[in-house]
Amino acid sequence: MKKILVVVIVLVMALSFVACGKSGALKVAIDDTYPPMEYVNEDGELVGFDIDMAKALGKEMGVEIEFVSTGWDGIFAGLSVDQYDCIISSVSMTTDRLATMEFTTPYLANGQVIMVVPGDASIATMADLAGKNVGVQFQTTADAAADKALEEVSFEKIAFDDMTTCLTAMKAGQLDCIVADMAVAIDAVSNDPDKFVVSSVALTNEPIAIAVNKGNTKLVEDFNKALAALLANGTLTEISVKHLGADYVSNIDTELR
Amino acid sequence: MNINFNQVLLFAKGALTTIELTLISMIIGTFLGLIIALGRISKRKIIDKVTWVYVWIFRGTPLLLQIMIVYLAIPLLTKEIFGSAIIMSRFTSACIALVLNTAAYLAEIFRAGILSIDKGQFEASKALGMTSRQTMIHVIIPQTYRRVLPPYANEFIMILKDTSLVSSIGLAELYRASEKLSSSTGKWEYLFIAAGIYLLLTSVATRIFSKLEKRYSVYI
Repeated sequence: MKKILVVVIVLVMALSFVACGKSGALKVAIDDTYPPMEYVNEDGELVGFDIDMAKALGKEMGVEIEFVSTGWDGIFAGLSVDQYDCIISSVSMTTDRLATMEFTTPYLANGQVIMVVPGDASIATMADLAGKNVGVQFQTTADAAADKALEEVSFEKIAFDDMTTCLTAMKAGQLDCIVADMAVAIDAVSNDPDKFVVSSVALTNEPIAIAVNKGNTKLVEDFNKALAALLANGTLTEISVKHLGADYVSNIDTELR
Repeated sequence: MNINFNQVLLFAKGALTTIELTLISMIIGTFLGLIIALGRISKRKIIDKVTWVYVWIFRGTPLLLQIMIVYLAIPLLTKEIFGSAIIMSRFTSACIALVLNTAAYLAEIFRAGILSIDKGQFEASKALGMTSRQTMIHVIIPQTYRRVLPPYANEFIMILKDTSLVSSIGLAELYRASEKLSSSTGKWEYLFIAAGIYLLLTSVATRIFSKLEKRYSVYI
């Protein structure tokens, strides 16, 4: 009996080691609470702009894509210790981030916008935020932009761990407005046009790119080649129209503001 | 690793919020818990049933969910049903959820304490002509202190750590402070600092309760 047990245990261990080795897939980290870029739909499926694009990149590059679901607040730490190969999760290019990680060429135009309740015309610039309850996602560029604005204007900044809770809080009336990525605002407005409306032009310019650990320049080059190919053959434009309603992938303004 | 003054301030503010939330939920929770415990012992079936349902719901659902429901679901629900939403600030929502949750656990702790008192005490008080209320206040409850202190201390320490859950509605408490510093700088040391502060706070609480226990076991 004991001998059989030992044999079974050894077999299980051996099999699991083999299974470990087989995975040559490209590990892509995502924070899947971020519609329309990456989120879980009503049927429990992982969908979104970044998901479709990552799969298209995988086909173009001839690698299998494995998505790793990570909370946003640990996502960069995980990259720096190679828990995954890259992050394709609406990562904005900022000068700070350029210092600590590598970016591919940007694949989506983006900037911070302010979303308000329809009919509220009082908020259009950072200065109008005075005295309001402003929602942001914790530790995002919107959070940083709000912190900067707090130096000049006084308002209540409420930072949520994930975007979906932030959106629900505004629907519940806990927030007067949300500062978020343009893509998120577009999607929220199209899903609930009676609850959200975009009230200002882009306050910052932060195009979105794929983040890779410092030193992994080969992967960046491979990605750039594949991204260029997808843009040329119209795949990226198709994905953009599908999830965002228009083409935000051509002629991206790459100046960081 | 250098720690500058701003970071110390961030941790200090966070720790203060944690302590505030803990004290508010424990103090109000104790009063509410006692009332519910007495309700559970009550001979009137309806009071017993109502308090049973309360304890069942608030012990049977996660605290995190309770916090979310008070902060998000209540405004949404009341808006739909009544047309105008009942909105509470983050701090108020957190306190309400914490108090309701704590009271449920404490009710069971107090109930166990009261039921463990010898029946003879109740009978003797009755024989002396004391009302139920006098019996409870002057005879029974004072005798439960010693029995109730260990689980009460337990609950206090648990709540102190559970306050970290309010970070999910954006409240800046101790855990949030460490989250913020560690994710913006990429340095993991801040998490250990927060752990250390939590340990300090729980140790102080443990010490105080230890002293209280010693004091109440004087008559053993």
